[in-house]
Amino acid sequence: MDTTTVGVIGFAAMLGLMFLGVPIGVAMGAVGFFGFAWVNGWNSALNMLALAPYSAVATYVLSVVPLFVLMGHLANETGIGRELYATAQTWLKHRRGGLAMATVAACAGFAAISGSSVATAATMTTVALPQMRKMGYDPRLATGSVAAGGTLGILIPPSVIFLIYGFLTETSIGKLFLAGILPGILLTVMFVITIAIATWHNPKLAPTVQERASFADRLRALREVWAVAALFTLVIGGMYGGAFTATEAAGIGAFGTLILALVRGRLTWGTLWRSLASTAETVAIITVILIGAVVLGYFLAVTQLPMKLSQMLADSGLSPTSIMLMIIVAYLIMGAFMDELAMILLTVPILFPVTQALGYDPVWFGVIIVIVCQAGMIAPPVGLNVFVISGMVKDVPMADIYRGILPFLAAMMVLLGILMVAPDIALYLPRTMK
Amino acid sequence: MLARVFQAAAVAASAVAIAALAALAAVTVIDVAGRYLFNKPLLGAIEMSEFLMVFLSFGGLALAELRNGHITVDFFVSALPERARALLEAAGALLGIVFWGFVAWRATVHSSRIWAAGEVSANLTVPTWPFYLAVTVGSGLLALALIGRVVRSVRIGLA
Repeated sequence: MDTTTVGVIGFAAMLGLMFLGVPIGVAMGAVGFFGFAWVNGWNSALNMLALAPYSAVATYVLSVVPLFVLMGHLANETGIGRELYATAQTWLKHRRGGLAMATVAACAGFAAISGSSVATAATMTTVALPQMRKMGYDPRLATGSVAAGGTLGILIPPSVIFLIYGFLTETSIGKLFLAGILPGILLTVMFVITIAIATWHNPKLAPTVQERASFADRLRALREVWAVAALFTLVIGGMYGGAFTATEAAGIGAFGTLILALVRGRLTWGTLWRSLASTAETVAIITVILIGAVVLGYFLAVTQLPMKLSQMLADSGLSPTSIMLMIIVAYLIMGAFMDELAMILLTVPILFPVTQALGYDPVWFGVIIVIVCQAGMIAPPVGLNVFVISGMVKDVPMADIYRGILPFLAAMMVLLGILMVAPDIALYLPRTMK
Repeated sequence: MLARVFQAAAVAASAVAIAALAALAAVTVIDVAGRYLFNKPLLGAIEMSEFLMVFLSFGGLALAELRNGHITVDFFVSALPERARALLEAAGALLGIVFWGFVAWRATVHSSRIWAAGEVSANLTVPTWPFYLAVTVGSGLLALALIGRVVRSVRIGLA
């Protein structure tokens, strides 16, 4: 049997194991290990397994992930999400659907210091959802705006998905982060417009409109967000200007969040411990998938499957655009069923060479990957953000949450289309970086 | 009794991971502060970060398993009856024991090899074998935690 066939069989077996409920990391790792042994023999497989798990995690570049995750958890534990929502509310509460718009805006602000979609959604579920429910907002609109807004966490830098993508493809983290800024702002605006259209079309979604806050109140509210602005400028600006590496920026960001909390009297041993403990748990969960993906990567490399696939697509006579569209559709389908982090660890090593052979910009493809991950996090039947919200709000059926996110999902599809036509929206800022 | 001892071991390993995380943040900040404020970066900061990453990554594995943290695709399985689901879960955990058992075994062998050879790190010149032993402990504890899952699932599946 030639090695490519072994690769295809191994890959199919791995998908089968995953769908039978085998933990994703184990499915990838076990198939990778035994497949590697099949192709290259036991001795070299045993040697590979002695080194691969260690070298997968013992890298300086990867240490950026726990530090940015820690920064997000610290921001969450010390109440920055609540402040952002209060500010956004002051500015938007007099509009129809204003509280939902404020939710999206606060999510975007929180995303600027948090790298995780789930963390952003969880924060806003506790902060914004009770307010919207109290004002009689339709639960579909209320939960939908939290779920969709939460996904901004991975598009607006910092972003765990950009970090992992950059790690896998050796693309500059700084450039990826910058590339997320303009699409992130654009998507935030599109979400707000989506809410405006939905509530204009059906005012029952948001029955109450509050009084407009005075200009003085609004200015005063802005003062509350200086902390976020300062942290974002320090971290992203420091990377942009070349003062810090990504890891250093993450460390400084976490430390800065800690200092801010301390200065404002928000830091207790409890919040510090909880932030550290939940970060360690997140890292453990990522580690298992990462090791599985790295071991699987060794197997796929010896079967030359990624190379053969990109060759095959290149020879297929299809245009680069249609191949890219196929890739995007495949990601949207996969994302509906799979954990997004696992999805990119599994597929980016295979598909990245294809996109490079077709001449796509690695930074641009990173942005596309993040947006399909965003869609996957809220798309039925398996949307991570929806699970988070549903776990915290027991009285809204999951089907209602999924119905509420549909307009936002449509906005994401529009953004994908815009980026296909006008890639410069993503690439303009990174190009200005040295 | 055995379960209690094991739980304590998992919690202890996780505490090591948390300490490593705090140290990682400290090393990064001290390195940057040293470079910009005192013109003197921390010696071997990158290597320290790499070693701390090993403790951080592997330390929390077992506790995350005990808390059901590890990610699965349960959409298709959730349509099955409970007993079939439990048996599939047992089979998956068994495969996990095999994989993490292999990882722990190979890390131990490698650790003893580089111990015998007296291998030290490039910058800090510390022996490197203890870091591979951390891989052994972390994956070994995860494999042990999975044994508990197999026992529980088989009980449900055959009840």
